[in-house]
Amino acid sequence: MSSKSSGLLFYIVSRILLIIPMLLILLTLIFIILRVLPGDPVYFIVSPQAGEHIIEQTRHELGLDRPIWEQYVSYLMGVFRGDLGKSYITKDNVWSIIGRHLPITIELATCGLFVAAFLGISFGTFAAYKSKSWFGVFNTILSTIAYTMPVFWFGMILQILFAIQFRVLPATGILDTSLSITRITGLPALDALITGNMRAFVDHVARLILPSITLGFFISGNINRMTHSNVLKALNEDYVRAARARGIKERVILFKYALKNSLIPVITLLGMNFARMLSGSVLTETVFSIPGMGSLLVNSIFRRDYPLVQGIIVVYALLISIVTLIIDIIYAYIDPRIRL
Amino acid sequence: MSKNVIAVVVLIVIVGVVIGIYIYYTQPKPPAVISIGSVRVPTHLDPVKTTGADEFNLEFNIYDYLVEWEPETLNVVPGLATSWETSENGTVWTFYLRQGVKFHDGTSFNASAAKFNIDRYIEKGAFRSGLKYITNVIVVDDYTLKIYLSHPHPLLLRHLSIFIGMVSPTLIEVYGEDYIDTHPAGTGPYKVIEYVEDDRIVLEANKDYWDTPPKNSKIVLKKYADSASLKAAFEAGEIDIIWSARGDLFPTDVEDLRKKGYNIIESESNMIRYIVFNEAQYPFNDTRVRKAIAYAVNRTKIVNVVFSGQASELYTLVAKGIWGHLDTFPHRNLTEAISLLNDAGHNTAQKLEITLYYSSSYYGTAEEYVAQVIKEDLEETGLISVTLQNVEKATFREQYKAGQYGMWLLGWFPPIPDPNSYLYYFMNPIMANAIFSSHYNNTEADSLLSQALSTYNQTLRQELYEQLQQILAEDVPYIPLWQLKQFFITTDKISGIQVSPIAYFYFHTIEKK
Amino acid sequence: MKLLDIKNLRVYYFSEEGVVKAVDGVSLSLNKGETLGVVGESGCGKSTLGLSVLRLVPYPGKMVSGKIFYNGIDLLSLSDEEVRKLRGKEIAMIFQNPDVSLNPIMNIKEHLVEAILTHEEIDEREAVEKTEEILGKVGIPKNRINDYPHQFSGGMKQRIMIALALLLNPKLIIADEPTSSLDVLIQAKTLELLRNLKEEYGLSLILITHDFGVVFEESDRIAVMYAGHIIEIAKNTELYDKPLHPYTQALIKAVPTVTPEEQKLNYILGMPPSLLTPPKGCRFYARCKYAREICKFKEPKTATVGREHIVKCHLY
Repeated sequence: MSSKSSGLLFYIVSRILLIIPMLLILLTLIFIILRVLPGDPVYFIVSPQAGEHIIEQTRHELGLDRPIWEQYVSYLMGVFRGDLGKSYITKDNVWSIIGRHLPITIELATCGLFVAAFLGISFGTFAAYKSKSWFGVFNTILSTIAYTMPVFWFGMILQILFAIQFRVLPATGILDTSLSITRITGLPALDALITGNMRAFVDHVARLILPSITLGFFISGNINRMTHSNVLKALNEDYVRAARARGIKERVILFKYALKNSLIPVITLLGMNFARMLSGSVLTETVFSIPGMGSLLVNSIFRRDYPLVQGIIVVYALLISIVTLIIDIIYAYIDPRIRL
Repeated sequence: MSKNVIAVVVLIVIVGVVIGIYIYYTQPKPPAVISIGSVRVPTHLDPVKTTGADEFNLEFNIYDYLVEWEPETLNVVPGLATSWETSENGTVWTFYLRQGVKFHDGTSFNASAAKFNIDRYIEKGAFRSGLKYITNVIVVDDYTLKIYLSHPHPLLLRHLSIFIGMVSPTLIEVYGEDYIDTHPAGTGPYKVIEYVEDDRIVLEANKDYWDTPPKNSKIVLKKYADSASLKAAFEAGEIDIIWSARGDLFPTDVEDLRKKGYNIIESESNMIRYIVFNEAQYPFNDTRVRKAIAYAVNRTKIVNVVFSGQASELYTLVAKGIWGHLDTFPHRNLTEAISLLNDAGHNTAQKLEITLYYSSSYYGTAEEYVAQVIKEDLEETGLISVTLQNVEKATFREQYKAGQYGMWLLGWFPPIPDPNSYLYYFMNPIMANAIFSSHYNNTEADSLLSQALSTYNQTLRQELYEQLQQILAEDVPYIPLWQLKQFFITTDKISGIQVSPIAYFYFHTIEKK
Repeated sequence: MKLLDIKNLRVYYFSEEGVVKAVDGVSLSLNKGETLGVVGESGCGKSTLGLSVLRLVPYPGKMVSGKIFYNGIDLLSLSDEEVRKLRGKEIAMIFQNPDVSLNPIMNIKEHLVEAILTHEEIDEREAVEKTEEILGKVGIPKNRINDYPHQFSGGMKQRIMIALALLLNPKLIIADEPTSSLDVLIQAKTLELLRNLKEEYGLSLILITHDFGVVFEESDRIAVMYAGHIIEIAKNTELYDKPLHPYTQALIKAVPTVTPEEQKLNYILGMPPSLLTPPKGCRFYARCKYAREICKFKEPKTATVGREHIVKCHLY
């Protein structure tokens, strides 16, 4: 037992150490790509009406007139001091900008993940169990629709239906404009609860419903198909037949034998999707006007806001590393054959 | 046992939901808020950095200026200066300042605070090059300020009323320059209480405002990712006002909302759209070709087909609603266009091949249709063949400034409501090159511009600007096409919106039932 | 009294290529305490026959006709739930490949405790005690109770499977090729264990195998299956001494008790017929050295020759 946990610790530490060189490579790449991309950030800061000398002045203030290697070195030094610099546009600290957008994305991604996992796994499992009935056919159609359908279109349909037609759910944003939430942890839902601001909590949660369904339904397509085929395969395994021969109940066989054994690839897929959602879901964020990481990244790329783009990439890399690490730990928990 | 656990969990959830709903409905409702939706919000709020209309607009609501102007008439009125006088030769201005005014952070406003802000702007302001005529600012006493000019300058009051918002000097001393980008403190009718970039800015009414306090207590400026989500939010009742200042909503969306019975206030905006030529490039070095194109474009078609009538045809660079506006460009005349092209040596056998560059990621999807209409119009002469080239936002400006295009579509929305703002940058050779790379150079025009900028004589200025607009129509370095309209779309609850021809929006008069 | 009585059972697989008649009119009975060997080549339907008793014939297989009486109860008339309650408790089954017969993500204790708690209303502690006891009997040490299947060898896994089968004191065990995936040494040990435990628990056993050697070693009575039919049933010694069916005769000659050279000579030429389109007459016709005209067109009836010796051949 102790050897197992020390092995796990070693594994986690080595994985974390591996993040550092990965981050370096990633930063170098993104640094180069951004500067190779056509488009000068100064033109997004200074309006066309301002004169040429303003442009030069601004370029100097941002340090963009220095040689690229010098910019690179000073940026890296900053990063290793934990300083990601300031946005070219808002002049705000990159950490605090990300700090405002990331929690919202984390909430949305988590809710989306739950919707996707619930829809995908339950439908996929049930369809595998009843693969010879009409439900199997229905589910195949459903899952195909889910992952081929344009996200923004589905989001807009939900919006028109539930927010404009029936007015049962809010259409956009993360909070009613008349409300505000005191910032403690940064996660709006949690902060509203901590401060006992039930009105804001209810409003905020209601606003997460449609985007989560949009995002979750889209991702459920793949989860559904993978769960379906894996459970179907597992149900034909010898150990399922052996369990049946022992009189084990069908419900237990379906979940403990077939589903649980199918979960590893499904969890991989969920984890990958979660990591993807953490990097922001631009389309969903656009339809529902949610100030998350996706729109932040897209906007900052469009404006050539180098420090912000670089900062976001650093945070993504860290998040994805953490998520994959967690997935690996979950594997070991589910499947005793996997030793970390 | 597991059944018991489930039962307990269900019970807790039910009790939690009931308590939650109870608290939700018994907690006091927050004060009424007016929310204004748009597809953009300001990116920073420091007056010295401001060059964009969104920033200017918000700054008018949080800062005060020495002089201000009435939104509807654009007439200059007292602001933080209650009165002012000019010396005989017009180079020394004395301003008598309002007493008892405090910044949002508690600092008192006085002459040294005013000097601090003017000096700061002259040192690092975005438009400081246009303020070089200010030579000195002197604090006479706590509430008297003298401004010395190198020569009489008709735009001084405009510059003071738009560029130089009064920021608390203490704030800058204590927190530094970058802090006020997101945490400004002025003396204006509103304080910024929350700022989330790319999402919202929350303004709270300044209860101690020296002038009539705002008729509302809280304003939320909400940014939407695109036209569709802006419209959806409005229809779902989440925002009270859509402010579409420069074509933020699709024309069809505006029509749809009109049909659904929402209130729509419509007026000219200050944004003009036009074609720019690079006179250094063949065939646009030939005035006859540029003129022929000016005769061939069909503004009526652009306005009606692309914008469903939600724009105005424009026959000069000075926007409608700005004094001095005079139509000088010709209306469509294909015969004239053809004969000019023939003169220039182009015929059906050897068609003139040109490329029109535009950026739909910069100006919106309608841009593609505009480009298509222009292509059809020009090709109707039978002598021109047009290639369309859509360029990504990030590279568009860089490339036209590098002189890579010969003909492209551009827009202009100057902050200052004066014909100079529409003509100087286009016709002064240095500016025209620096901003547009149009290589337009007319010395006569340049001297007329300088003349108009060094007199307080309004009649003379008007004559000069009319003359300049005639020259533009002769030289055709640019072709004005259309002027955008601005829309305020509101629910029945909203009243008191003040419309300004220069597309600025003062929030303090809005009321919500 | 007979513990199990199978009457004229037909199990067909309705596959896309056609109907595979895997078990085609089989009658068979088993006495209490008896070990019945069912022997035949692979694909002859013997595994399907075994699965039929537990009603575990997989899709698209179907029991078309016939009856199976267990202790006088008609198994085919029971509901799914009633059959499930019999499985493991009354009739247990041991499968061919122990490597894939255990759930890889459950440890051994979980397997056994789950099986006990499914059928008996005792608390978990008692179930664990019972688990330890039975594992002791099959020679799995106590301290390995929390280990997972992949941590055991094939032989150990099969002993765990045996423990799982014996766990609830069933009256009948169907062992389908219980040792064929194990190497010879382990095979013998496992069979010995099974034999001893059968004695100890007073079980009845159906031993399904392709291995005549094993069958002669272990069984009281032997049924020979060929292409969906049972072609001969007799007591162990009787069958060994006096095989009647030409197929049985050939098989007995092929038993690897002799040297490999000899074995080759006795090898039966040809392949068993396809069960999709079985021949009209005797199914062994094509390979039979005594084949006559009638064998081609008429299916032979079962004839009882001597005491409890049944054969399905036109010769008798």
